[in-house]
Amino acid sequence: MSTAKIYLEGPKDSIAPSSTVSLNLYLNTDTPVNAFDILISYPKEKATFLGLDNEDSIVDIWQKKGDSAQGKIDLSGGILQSYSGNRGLVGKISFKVSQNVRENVRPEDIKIAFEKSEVYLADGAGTRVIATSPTFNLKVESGAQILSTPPPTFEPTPSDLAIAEGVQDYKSDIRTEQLVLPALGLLVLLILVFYLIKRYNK
Amino acid sequence: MSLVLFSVAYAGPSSLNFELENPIIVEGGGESTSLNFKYLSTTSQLTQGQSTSLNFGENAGFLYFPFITVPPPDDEGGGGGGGGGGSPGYPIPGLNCRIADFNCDGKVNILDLSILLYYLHRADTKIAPFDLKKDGVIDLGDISIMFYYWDKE
Repeated sequence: MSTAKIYLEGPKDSIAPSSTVSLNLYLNTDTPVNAFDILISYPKEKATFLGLDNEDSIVDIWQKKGDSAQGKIDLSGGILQSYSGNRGLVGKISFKVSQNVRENVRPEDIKIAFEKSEVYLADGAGTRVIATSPTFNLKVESGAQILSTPPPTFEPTPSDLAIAEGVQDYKSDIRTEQLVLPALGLLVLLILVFYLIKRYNK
Repeated sequence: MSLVLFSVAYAGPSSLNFELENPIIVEGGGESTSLNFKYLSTTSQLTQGQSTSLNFGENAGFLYFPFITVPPPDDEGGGGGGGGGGSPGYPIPGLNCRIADFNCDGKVNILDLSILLYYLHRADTKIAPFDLKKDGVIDLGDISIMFYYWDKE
């Protein structure tokens, strides 16, 4: 039976309000997987999602790259040659801790949880495995060290760029099929009608 | 009085998926299976076609259910895969499915991407159902077409 784990790693010590923090999102799997679907939730009143950094990521194709709404972060994509092993870096997700986190707040007050943590085996049948995914607790305390991390940068992968270009080409082909070909057919029909009328009137 | 016992579209004794060498329906048949089709049951006349009696007319034919499955692909010439082996088959896309909906669940999603990635860079006869671009090889062009049909949730 295949087992997988998706988890976050970040600062173990408490950090101060207004800090920016980057958390590494890792994948462990004992069976090769080639796709994943992850939904992360966080308390949006306590932290703001800044974005996804995909440097050194094992992911080749990003379908959802940290789309964020209502305290959720959607991540999904594919790995061309499949992946198996431990500590495969999916990406780094960055947050800014709110200033509004109360004074003297207890540690472990920002819980970043996984609502979905699914991987798909590279078996040609799309077999889904639900990965274990422990909640990450970001400890925030006034008086703790203020962390500052550079803003995340997401760079489309070469595969992403090629796919985007392919989508545009396909859209263009579809437009040709739906518009140009019927228009050509209509033109031919009109020419035929004119020809027949002309011939009939002779 | 005319009673139609079976009214089944029947294209002929062969299809892309199987060849029916002896187009005879056995009376009172139960369930039979082969690698290529599943034949559930019928109570009919001995040969296909149309028969009549004084009391009813019967249109008989080959009762065909699209239970076609693809065997788990082998690793020969594999490119984008890994793992695998022992996986269950799944319906051939294209029978009643949307484009790029390989598992026929009505959605084009990450599961279909996983299936397509398995066949990436392959160019053998088994890729035909997944070769969305119809160019004989599974590549990023096929993934592009899949993304065109991707379901917005």
